Amino acid sequence: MKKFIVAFSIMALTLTQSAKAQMYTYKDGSVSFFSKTAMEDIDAHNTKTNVLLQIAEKKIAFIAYNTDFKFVSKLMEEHYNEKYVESEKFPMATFLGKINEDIDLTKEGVYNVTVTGNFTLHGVVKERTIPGTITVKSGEINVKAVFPVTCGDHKIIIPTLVVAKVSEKVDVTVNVNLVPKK
Amino acid sequence: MKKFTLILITIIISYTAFAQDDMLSMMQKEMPSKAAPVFATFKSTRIVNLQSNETMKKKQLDFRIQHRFSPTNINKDNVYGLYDMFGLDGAKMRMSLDYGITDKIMVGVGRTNGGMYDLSVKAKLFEQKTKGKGTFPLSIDYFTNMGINTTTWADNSRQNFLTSRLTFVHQLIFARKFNEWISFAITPTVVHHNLVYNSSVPNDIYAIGVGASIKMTRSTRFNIEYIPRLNGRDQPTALDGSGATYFDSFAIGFDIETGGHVFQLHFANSQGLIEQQFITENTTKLDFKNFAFRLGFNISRTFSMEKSTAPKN
Repeated sequence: MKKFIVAFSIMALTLTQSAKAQMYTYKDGSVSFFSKTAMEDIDAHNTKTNVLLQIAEKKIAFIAYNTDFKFVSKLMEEHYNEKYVESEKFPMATFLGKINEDIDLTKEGVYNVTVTGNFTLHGVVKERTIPGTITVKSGEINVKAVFPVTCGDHKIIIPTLVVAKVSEKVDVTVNVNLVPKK
Repeated sequence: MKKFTLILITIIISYTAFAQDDMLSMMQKEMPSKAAPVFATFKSTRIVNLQSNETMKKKQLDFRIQHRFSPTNINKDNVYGLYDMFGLDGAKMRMSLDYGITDKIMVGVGRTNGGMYDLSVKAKLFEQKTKGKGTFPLSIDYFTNMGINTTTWADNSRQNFLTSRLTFVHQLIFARKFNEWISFAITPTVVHHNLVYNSSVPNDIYAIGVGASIKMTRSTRFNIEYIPRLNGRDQPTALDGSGATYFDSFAIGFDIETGGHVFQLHFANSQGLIEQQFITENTTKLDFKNFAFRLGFNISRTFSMEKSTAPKN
């Protein structure tokens, strides 16, 4: 019986170990968005995004605090938080999705994938299928994606006064490097 | 056997925890719950005249043009108001530049017509923080300025000193954003004049400014402020010896935001544009009955000296 317990404990330990090794988490890179109009380009970067990738289940999750998006103009940053995404009510933007393709992320390579899941911004959840590229190389995983977000879809209203300056469609760019979770 | 069951249960629990669908809530648990400073307690660095707790952020420059007009009820040949278009003919004007050295320290320079220059520093000592660890209920700022009067000397025959043209202001600004809609500020102030008219006039005038801001719509706010003085109230104290009596400054105003600009339109009884003028040298009585107040406006335009916030690699 004792032997069995020891064996089982070892098994359990390795199991949890491998489960942990299957998780990748944010190392560096950024999630950014870009709004282009004839009058003004708005460019904001978030370098503190929390990312979790589960290899076995091919699931990926993002959490980005709205206040971590850094703008060139701090007035814009304040407006973004106060008037557009309303960070006090809705502090974060999230995405939780599953990779549709049948790929093995334990093997090195470049994979073009689509990820389907829920994108939450300004308290509004939208199901999205987002194309992207996953690169597995020397123990690190790079995730790249570009996708448009329509402000109206998330009940973000652009006042008529600044319609010429703020684009209704905003391009979100993801480029993050992930490392195995400790 | 008991041990075995225990281990088995632990394993099952830990395994289901990993298999759990809600990765997001798992991630949130691991994220540090650090309290974030509240933003936009006031819409700009001034409530109306009174300094707010806001400073320009790092590398941000604020160019500000302020106007205060004559009283609205000037009477000439029984033509009230319209004679000089409700005071618009007589304007006091200040232009200033304020720059954020860091996110918490701002320096400024300004000039008011009438030869008054001013240099100022505002520093955030504490920031109001809500939610998470390390919350703090108030914002506390320190503001100081030096006014330099550069008009010609009144009497050239005597020996004049530069120091006698200097005035100083020290303020502590306690501010709190109660919710999305309402913010308050209390501002204990001391105004120091190096040279006063005569020995009966105090060099130091103490005052406590109170101000509030109420959000009306997404881009407009209503502001109100009152700055009662605590001493020197009964002095016929005009520094120029004109014998005028001074009154406490009161103002109401509206902030209107249009992207990069903030317009502040207001009604005030004071014409001064820096603290030494509107707190201690205000000669207009607040008189609602006779429609005696002054129109004024501030235009604030912000520029960013930052190039990009993209990560460097």
